[in-house]
Formats: sequence, C-alpha cells, structure tokens
Amino acid sequence: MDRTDEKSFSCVVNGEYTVLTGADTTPAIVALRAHGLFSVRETCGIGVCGTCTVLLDGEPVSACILPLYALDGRTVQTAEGLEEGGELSDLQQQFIASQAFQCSFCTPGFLMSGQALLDGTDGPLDDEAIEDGLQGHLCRCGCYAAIKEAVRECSAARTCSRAGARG
Amino acid sequence: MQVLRPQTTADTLRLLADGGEDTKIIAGGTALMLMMRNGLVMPEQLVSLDRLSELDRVTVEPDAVRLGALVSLRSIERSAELATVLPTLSAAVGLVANHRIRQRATIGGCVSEADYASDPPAVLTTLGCEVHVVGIGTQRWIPLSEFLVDYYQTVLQPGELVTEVRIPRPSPTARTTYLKYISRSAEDRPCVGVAAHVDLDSSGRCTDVRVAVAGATATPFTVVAATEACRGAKPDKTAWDEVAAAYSAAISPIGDARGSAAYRKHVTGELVRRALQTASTGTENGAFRL
Ligand SMILES: Cc1cc2nc3c(=O)[nH]c(=O)nc-3n(C[C@H](O)[C@H](O)[C@H](O)COP(=O)(O)OP(=O)(O)OC[C@H]3O[C@@H](n4cnc5c(N)ncnc54)[C@H](O)[C@@H]3O)c2cc1C
Ligand code: FES
Ligand code: FES
Repeated sequence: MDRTDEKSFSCVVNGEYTVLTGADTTPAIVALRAHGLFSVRETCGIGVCGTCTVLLDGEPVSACILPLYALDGRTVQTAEGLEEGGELSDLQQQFIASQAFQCSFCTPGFLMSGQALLDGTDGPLDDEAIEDGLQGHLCRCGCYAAIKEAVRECSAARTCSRAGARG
Repeated sequence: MQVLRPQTTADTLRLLADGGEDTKIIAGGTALMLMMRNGLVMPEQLVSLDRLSELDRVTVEPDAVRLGALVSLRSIERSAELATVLPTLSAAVGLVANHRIRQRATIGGCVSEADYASDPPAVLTTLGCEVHVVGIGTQRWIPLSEFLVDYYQTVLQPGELVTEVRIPRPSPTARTTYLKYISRSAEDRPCVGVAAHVDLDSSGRCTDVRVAVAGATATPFTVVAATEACRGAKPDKTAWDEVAAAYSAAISPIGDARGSAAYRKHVTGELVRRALQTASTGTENGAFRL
C-alpha cells in the first residue's frame, strides 16, 4: 500500500477512544491486529469462516472484508473487550466449563457472535435460535455441540454481561 | 487509492462523473472488498454510499414497497412490516450468506453486483421489481429482468447509480415461494434456486404464474411461454409437471464447483415442480433451504 494512502480513523475500540491507521480500504482486521488485538484472526479472508468476527456498533461483521473507513466514528468490540475488571465474561467462563474448544482458533469469533446473540435476546435459547445466531462460524476441531451447550447454559443462567455491553 | 464519502446523491453523481472510468461505487463492500483483496479489480478511486442516509430508507406504499439502495439485507430480513408485505423476499434474503455478510450487504449492491449465484434477484424478478437508475440529469425505472444483462453485467453506464428498487405489492390472493438448493456448505450461494408466484381466480384456476431460476444461468431464468400457458388451468400436478419439463428443457445452465450443467438441468425441473407445488398447496409463503 502506498504510504501516501495512510490515514487516521477514530473509533471506540473496546470502550477506549482509539486512532487506527491505514488506507481507506485496508481490511479492518489488519489495522486491529496492528493495534495489538490478536483475537481477531484471519482464516478464509472471504467472509465465510467467522474467525475474524468483531462487533461493529454491536452487530457481528467479518473484519477480513470490512474496509477500515467503515470504522470511522463507530464502536468496535473484540474478544479482548469481553472481560470486565480482569474477569472473564460469563460466556467466556462457560466456554471453559463446557470445554467448548480444542485448538481455540475459532473461539474469539464464536464468542463475539454468541455475545451478540445473548445481548439481542431474553431468556433461555433453544438449539434453533443458537444455530441461527452462530451461523457462518466454522470450527475445524468440531466442537459445535460444546459451543452450543455453552451458549445454551449461558442463556439459561442469563447473567451474562461484558464490559461496555452494546455500543 | 482513496475512498470519497459524499453525503448527497447529487454530490455522488458529480464525483462519479469527475472520476471517470477508474472510479467505482462501494456500498457494503462485501463483494468489492473480496474482489480487491484478490486483485480482481483495482479501481483508482471509490465513491462510498455509506453516508447517503437518503438511500437507507424503506417506504411501504399502498401499491408497492420501495427499498433504498443502501438498505441492508439484515434490515430487510429483520423488518416485521416487510415480513408481512413481502414474506418470501424477506425470508429469501435471510438465506443469503451469513448474518455478518447480511449486516453489511445492501440491496443496491446485491442487484448491481449481478452475480449469477445470488438468491434475491430471482425472487425480485417474480415480484416484478424495477430498478431506479440515476445519472446527472437522467433517471429511469428499469425492470430488474432488463437491468441484469449477463454474468456480472448490468445496463448501468459509467456515472450511473442505483438509488432504489421498487417492488409492487403482490396480489392479496397470490402465493409465493423460494426454494434454495445448496450443494456444499450450509451458508453457500445457491446451486439452483427457484422462485415461484401463483395467483388463482375465485374458481381456483391459475391467473398469474411466474417462475424464475437463480444460480444456474447468467441472469434469473424464465420461460414466460410455459408459465403463461397455465392461465385457466387447475393448479395441479399435471400443470406443474408441464412447467417443470419446459424449464428443464429450455435451460442451458453453467457448470461450476456447485454442480455440473447436466446436474443443474435436472435439478431445475425438480425444483420448479416443488416450488410450484409448495406455492399452490403450502400454508405459508416463505423461503426454504434444501
Ligand atoms: C461469503 C459470502 C457469501 C455470500 N452468499 C450469498 C448467497 O448465499 N446468496 C446471495 O444471493 N448472495 C450471496 N453473497 C453476495 C452478497 O449478497 C453480495 O456481496 C452483496 O449483496 C453485495 O452488496 P454490497 O452492498 O456489499 O455491494 P458492494 O460490494 O459494495 O458492491 C458490489 C457491486 O455493486 C456496485 N454497486 C453497489 N451499490 C451500487 C449502487 N447503489 N448503484 C450502482 N452500483 C452499485 C459496486 O460498484 C460493485 O460493483 C455472498 C457474499 C459473500 C461475501
Ligand atoms: S477470515 Fe473473515 S470470515 Fe473467515
Ligand atoms: S477449537 Fe479448533 S477450530 Fe474450533
């Protein structure tokens, strides 16, 4: 990318005012990782697998095909922003309790869509609602059943919270 | 390369005109970012529509629904009003990609991308959708079936912009269905999709049958002679078998990773029959993944 294309974009990342730099069409994932947010991971680079999922104004999006300019003035959340005061969020803790991962490469992405699903609903969720909320996330280790269980347990307990929830 | 972000349609048109051939429009960017990352297109300049709040509007009128070009697929799918007025479109949009893509993808980008492996254009075709194309000092309404001309090609001229699509309200007695057949992963683009529209008169005879096939040809595929021949017929297996046979015989599908041409030809007949059957006997309008 040509140096002269570099620009600054202000946004709120995980509750903190942040300036990200890059070209307008630099994929957001590149700028977020350059900012030290390594939970945002690239696998497919084409919007299919979900490992790069972040919440943009509370909604899950694929950071691999999200142009950097689209973050300007917006609120972004990554898995780093899920914990509160050094404590893992309820969903994160439930992922551990349910053993919802093996290699964990897919985990941050699942956590972001799982959290958005919990934030947008009330009460216990059934399998259909959970599968719908986690659509477009691939786990090569095949932990789907445990991941669903984690979200289901968390929805049943409904005390899930995270730092700076929603926008 | 830079992205310009005008705030009005007028400014957008001016920037497009000033920019010339190497300037492209970007809306949600789900198709364009992917193509740019893979080096398939390298525009010198992009004009983003993301600040054109005037194009991010849904208007439900007595006889039609107008969707601004910037309305996201996610908001179409989530709108309770659209689920009532255009249930099959709303459900078919909900079968596109995954929720992260639908959050960013816009209806204007969906029709302008003109990707053959798309779902909404076939449904929009059976609903009689028209596209509003605007340039400096020009504006025209074009039926979607004429707007889409070939693989990834539309009638859009350089400097022109899609500002909205207009979908007539279906007749209150019309039944509509979309069947999306996928041959690979659950969130794949369609191998073949079939949109059907069946309207009957008070005696239960067909008055208006429409069928469009998605994913198999350059643009949504129709055999108008076959569906018009149903006028006055009973909406039964005999009628639907004939339409299915006509579609299967007439279509010359593409062969790609989602299915060979011969396979798609066969699937088209089967799906046309099922879609018409679902539309004429089912209890709900909607879209279904097979
Ligand atoms: C992983 C993935 C899976 C997908 N699966 C499906 C699927 O199952 N079914 C399906 O139907 N589709 C699918 N799609 C396609 C998706 O629906 C389109 O990418 C999307 O609708 C394009 O909209 P956009 O706003 O992101 O367009 P952009 O990427 O911004 O633009 C696309 C094209 O349209 C032009 N354009 C955009 N808006 C306008 C306008 N208002 N006027 C004139 N030109 C314009 C741009 O210049 C560009 O050429 C998938 C896409 C991805 C990335
Ligand atoms: S890396 Fe973005 S969706 Fe796969
Ligand atoms: S835990 Fe390994 S990919 Fe999901």
